[in-house]
Order: sequence, then C-alpha cells, then structure tokens
Amino acid sequence: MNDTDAVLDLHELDVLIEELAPGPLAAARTRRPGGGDARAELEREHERLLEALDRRWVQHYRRARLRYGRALVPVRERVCSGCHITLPTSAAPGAGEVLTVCESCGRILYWG
Amino acid sequence: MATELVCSALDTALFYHELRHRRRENALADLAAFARDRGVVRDPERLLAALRRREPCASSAPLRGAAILHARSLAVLDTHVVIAPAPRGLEWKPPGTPPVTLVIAVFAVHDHPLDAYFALIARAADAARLQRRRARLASPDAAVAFAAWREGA
Repeated sequence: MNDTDAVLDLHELDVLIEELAPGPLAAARTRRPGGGDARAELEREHERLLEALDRRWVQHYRRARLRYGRALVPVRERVCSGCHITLPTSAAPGAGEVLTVCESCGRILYWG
Repeated sequence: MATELVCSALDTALFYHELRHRRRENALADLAAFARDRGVVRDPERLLAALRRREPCASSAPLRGAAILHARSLAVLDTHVVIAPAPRGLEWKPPGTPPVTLVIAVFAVHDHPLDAYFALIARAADAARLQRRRARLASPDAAVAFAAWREGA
C-alpha cells in the first residue's frame, strides 16, 4: 500500500471510529456476532497504518488531527474545505499524486 | 406519521435504481457505479471498501428482505439516498437468510454531522419497514384474511 492510500484509509478509519464512539447505542453498534469489539479492531488497524506510513505524513496527520479533529479535507474548486482559502495554482499536486498539505491551515488536502 | 417518515427520508436528493443481480457483491459494485455516474461518488472503489469495512460493525441487512447500506466517506461528493429494489432477490449474508428485495443505500459526505447521519439511516430503515408492511397488505393472503375478518365482524 502506498502512502496516499494509507493516509486516505487512516481518514476513513477515523470517520468510522468516530461513529462507533461511546454513547447510548455504542454497545449495539460495536457488538459483533462472534464476540469481540469492532472499535478495538479498527483502532488496531489505525495504529498499524500509522506505523507503516512515511514519517512526514504521520507528522502532518497527527498535528492536523490534534488541532482540528479531522486531518484530511477535500479540495473543492481549488478551495481548502478546512480553512476555505483559495489555493494558488502552484499548490496543486504533481502528476499521479492527490495529496498535498494546505499552507494556510496545515490540513492534508485531497485533490481526488 | 409513517407517511411523514417516508417523505423526510426521501426529501434529500434521492435516486432510484433497479438491481438485476443475484449476488451481493455485484449489486454493491452496480450501486457504486450508478452513484459515480450520477456524480454522487468520486471514487467507487473506495466507497466499496468503506461499505465492506462497515459490514462487521453493523449488519447491512437488519430487516427481513431489506438491506440498509450506509457509508460516510471521503469517496462521497454529496449526501444522497439510493432506493434500489431487487426483484430477482439478492443473496445476502449470512447464507440461508431470506433474499433481499429492497436495498436502501445512504451515502453521506465524510463531514456530514453524525446525528443527522444516524437520523437519515433510521428514517431509511423506517421507510423499508413501511414498504414491507405495504407489500404484506397487498398480498393475496392479506386480502383473504381481511375478507374473513370482515365477514366475521
């Protein structure tokens, strides 16, 4: 798995773990037919992905997640969905890449 | 109240798509491709991965004959509900369960508010229950039972 897929997967796992957060319905949502806790499994997968990821992306990811709750945001019409700043054309990723870092807020930008 | 539930479940952007498959995986791929063609999804592969990842957390077929799929993902461009009847019946998991004839897919953007997302899924489930009750009432057995009840009353 390349770094781009790993970062996107990390984000998807964050979204899913947030849905399974403790609450009145958490037990019903996370209980599995064969026993075990789905949330704990997802958190283990999250840790595995972080360990396998390039250190540069881990730092960006952790810093943005700690600060904003969400580390990754999509770019819509050249605007960062996190801080809503219009990105310069030079901020676009290179060929074959879909991730950059917003120079304004530090979130990871998804250009997919 | 039931009619209100249906309206509120359907008042978000809604699509209708008939599934002609028998197997669950084919139906999921068809739904993802359909959503991509309508501009709802930017990456159908990632959406499929999100749907598969959610299955162990909560079964997508909580009702007899109906399945509620849901994904809150970066792969989704705009929150939409897709109503997908499957007249041929879909083999769902686990094996041996009744075939699924109605799939309601809730696709939400990754930052859709959590409460609103759960409310949307709940309304989709209510709409599926209502559809099942309607189908039961419209069946020949129900007509016979109703006629017998009227004669007895």
